[in-house]
Amino acid sequence: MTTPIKSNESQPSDEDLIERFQRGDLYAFDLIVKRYKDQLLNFIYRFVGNQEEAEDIIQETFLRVYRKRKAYKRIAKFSTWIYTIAGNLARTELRRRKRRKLFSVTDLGYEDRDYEISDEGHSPEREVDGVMQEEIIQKAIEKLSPKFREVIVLRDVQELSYEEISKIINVPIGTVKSRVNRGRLRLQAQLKHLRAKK
Amino acid sequence: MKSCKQFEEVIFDHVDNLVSGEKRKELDQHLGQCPPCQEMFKNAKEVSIRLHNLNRIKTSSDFETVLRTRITMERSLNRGVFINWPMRLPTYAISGVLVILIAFFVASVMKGELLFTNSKKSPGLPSLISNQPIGNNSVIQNSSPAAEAIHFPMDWKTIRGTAINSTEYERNARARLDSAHTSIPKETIVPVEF
Repeated sequence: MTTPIKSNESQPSDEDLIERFQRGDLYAFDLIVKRYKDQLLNFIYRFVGNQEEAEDIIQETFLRVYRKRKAYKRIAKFSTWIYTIAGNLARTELRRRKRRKLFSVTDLGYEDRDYEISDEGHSPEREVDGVMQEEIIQKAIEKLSPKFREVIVLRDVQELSYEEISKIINVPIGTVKSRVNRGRLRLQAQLKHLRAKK
Repeated sequence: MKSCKQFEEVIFDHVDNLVSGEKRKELDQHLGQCPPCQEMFKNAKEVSIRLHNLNRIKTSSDFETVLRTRITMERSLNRGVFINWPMRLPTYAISGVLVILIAFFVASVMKGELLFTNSKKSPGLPSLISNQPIGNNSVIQNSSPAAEAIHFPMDWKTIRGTAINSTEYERNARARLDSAHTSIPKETIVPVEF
């Protein structure tokens, strides 16, 4: 049985913090950074596949929150707003990377079709430890097209609701669900060999 | 009876634990009879769990320091370039006054230099001295070293700053002139013709 998470009354909500920050309270901004830096990093890292780049994107995300704090209106959840900023920056980074790799014939990352993960170094017979499994899963995520990758990470890694994902990426809930499910099946197709070791 | 295609969406909702009640009973019944749907559910659920169990990474230890530095830099940059309009007027006024003061100072220094240069060529002091009654309408010839001493009793700068309009200086100058007069040989004093 899972214990319900008790809401801490003394803990200000994200929306309260951003409002305090809008009134000039810099400490509120510090609290926002502490609250979001790691969860945004996990989202962006799984999305772009590089921790250093992910940290740069998160830095830029917070800088934008700082600069554009007045643009936030309480009609939307703060988490939606900050995830949208981070997601947009990550997509821009992926597009930039795609342009850089334009001449590379081996770049298979962005087509909307099923992929098989490379067999190099991996086989069902091989003993795969936890770290390697992580790497294999991350590589499989990276082989998905960005539109599947983003929703899969937001849903299964970040555990956001379909409604919130729909607002973040600005597509209907039905489309989000469909992408998540197709993405899961594509991932599973790539991770078949890991199942053998379970 | 529903087809597998019709159950697909419910199966995916079930992966997210979003199916309950009658729908759930119906789905369980279908999954019990349909191995392909069962397999699809199992695969999707497995991936979801794998992703959920991925290690959570943390930002580097200097993340917040770097961010603070970037914000501070940006703030100071913005402060320098984009001063609010109400702040601009006094800034411009003070800058204008400073520029005028500096220009005035530079001009006065240059003028002083010029005056100094000219004064060497046509010294004002001898004219001052020559305006004084020195008896017998005579002037002192420059050829005598003693006369030179009277004509240029001290450095021009000193004179310009303090003594030129000073009655005390005039008194001193006259005294020196008188004493010089007595020591100058008679032949060096020539009558002045007007």
